Amino acid sequence: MGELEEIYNIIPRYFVKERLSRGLGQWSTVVQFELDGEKAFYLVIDQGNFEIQQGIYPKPKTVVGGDITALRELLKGTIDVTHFIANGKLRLIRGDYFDLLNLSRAAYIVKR
Amino acid sequence: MGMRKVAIVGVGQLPFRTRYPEKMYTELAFDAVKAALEDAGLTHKDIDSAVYSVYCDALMRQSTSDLIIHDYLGLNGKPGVRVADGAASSAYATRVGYNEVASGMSEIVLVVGVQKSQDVIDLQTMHRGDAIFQAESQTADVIWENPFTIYPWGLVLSAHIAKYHTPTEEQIAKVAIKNHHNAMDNPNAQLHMELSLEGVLNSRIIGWPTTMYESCLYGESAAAVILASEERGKEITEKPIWITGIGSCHHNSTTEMNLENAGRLWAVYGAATQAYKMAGISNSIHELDLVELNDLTAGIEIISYEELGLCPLGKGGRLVDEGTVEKTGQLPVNPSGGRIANGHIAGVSGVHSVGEVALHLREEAGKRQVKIRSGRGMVSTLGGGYAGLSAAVILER
Amino acid sequence: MDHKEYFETSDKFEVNYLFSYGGISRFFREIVENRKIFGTKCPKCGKVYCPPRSNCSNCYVSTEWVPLDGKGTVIAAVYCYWVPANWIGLKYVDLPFINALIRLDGADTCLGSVVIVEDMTLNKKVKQGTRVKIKFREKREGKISDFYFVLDED
Repeated sequence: MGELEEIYNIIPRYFVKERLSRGLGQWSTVVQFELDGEKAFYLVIDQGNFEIQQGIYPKPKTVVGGDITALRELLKGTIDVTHFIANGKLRLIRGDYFDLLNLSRAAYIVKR
Repeated sequence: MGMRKVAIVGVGQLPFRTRYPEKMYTELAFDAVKAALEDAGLTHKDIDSAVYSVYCDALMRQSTSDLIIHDYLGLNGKPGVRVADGAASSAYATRVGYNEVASGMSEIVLVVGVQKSQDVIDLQTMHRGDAIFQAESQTADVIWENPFTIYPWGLVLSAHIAKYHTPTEEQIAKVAIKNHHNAMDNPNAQLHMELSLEGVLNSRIIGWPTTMYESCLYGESAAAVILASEERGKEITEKPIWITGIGSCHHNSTTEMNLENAGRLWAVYGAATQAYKMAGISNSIHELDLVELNDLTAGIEIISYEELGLCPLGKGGRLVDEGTVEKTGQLPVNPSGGRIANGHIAGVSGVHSVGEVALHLREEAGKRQVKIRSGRGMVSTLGGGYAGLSAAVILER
Repeated sequence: MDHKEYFETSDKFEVNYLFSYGGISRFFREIVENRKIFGTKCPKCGKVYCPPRSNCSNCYVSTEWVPLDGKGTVIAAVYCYWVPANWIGLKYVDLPFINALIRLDGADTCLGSVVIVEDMTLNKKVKQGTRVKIKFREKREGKISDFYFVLDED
């Protein structure tokens, strides 16, 4: 299974509001992913509920670029997002950096 | 010189906790002082003079708190003075207390550090931690450091690594693991958590290379020591612990940095040098049994080994790799868990560490007790904007 | 007392300043009005301070203002990846940001500022020894946040 398909599977299965802390349960945003060589997709997070969709969202709050392997690694929850930013594997193209920190925190909590 | 010998005759420590909502600062100070007095077999009426270490008024929601604490402790009518020098406050306070006894001005001096930090709150995030940062922000130079130079010690560490190519990320992580492991045996520690190398290295980077687990904790506590003259000290206790060396040094470590002298913690070096000279120590790694120092970050601990002369400049990482600074090593550093795992709150950490080393030298440190060979221990503290404040104390039994 | 028995209430402490820079006022006036950066030089020992001081801390004499060209060398750099959510610096920089100690050409002390680069990969573009030059923000209010640095690739 390719990494993109894996991500499409993991999000609805593990990133569920009930498993996230109270703090992340109030998190709402839309994060657009424009990863090198991959089809665009976005995450809609509404009060801690995660939804993943293909394509381009009209006005995302945050846009992230970089390497899909890095994103897949991030979602495993063992390496914090700051490391991927530091080594250039993930880039905040524009938007709210704290969305990335929150996503990393969510991954750490659900550990997939 | 005409100065008298000074003994530590009582130690009172409260555990480091994230928050003590059930205690106001007066009550925390009272608990620590009461414990120190009981340890010494004294009452508050025996105290001649008090030195208060209280760091940040904005966190405390009270200025000139030392007067209020003094009254609360039943010490009205006696001299009191407050010392506030960042995270190194209470070691500076110990020096002030030491001078009062050594000069003959007082026989018995109380040194107490207390700090609340969690009464503040950020109304947007509803997190107290966010508000602490803001409340303390005037500790740094408000014109030249704020808002961007939020980690002055991070600049020193980064410069040190660039110049000496150590410490490495692994060496820094090992210090974090060491201190967390040491804290497991410390009932006073705020955090009881073993760490793995991957866990430390992969955790959130705060300011490279420092990750979350390599950063000091922050919380609330109080601690006190009772100092006495030689004559009174020997009457009070069978185990007086002598302060044989003491030093303090204000030294801006960042503004004057250049490529040749980059990466030095000049204040730590200065305070330690004075203390060693006074105590007659010329080869610290062989003459000390333990060191409690301010590991504001794990990387700073490694630079501190060098500034304390435990090894040459640029060779601090090797002490970690060789296990020299482990609890079972030649010279245990931070057997309490240090600021990273035992706990930290400016105003208290210094006097907590002075009491801690005294307990080890008395061989009363419980499970965390280190082997006592030479009968000497050291406290080194660091704090402030420009990484510019440090005081050091040498204790001997 | 049981841990849960404590009672909490709220308070606020707010102070506004309209403060003076005293003897170093010219530093900020030159930045705001002329987009120029100055240091101060001791006429006795020749030491140039930037950040400026109106007195030489060594010689105890008054210093003189000297213009600097705004280019300098990074002495130390910290890549900051986390700050509290309400940190005031977020008005001026995005995360992550690079805080650097910079020794301006002609100066003998270091100024702390930020270096803004496109490629934020760790320790790649900005590190000890990197050459940088000053840039002034459009809106200047007389604070250290009025300027930042970029790579001097000339």
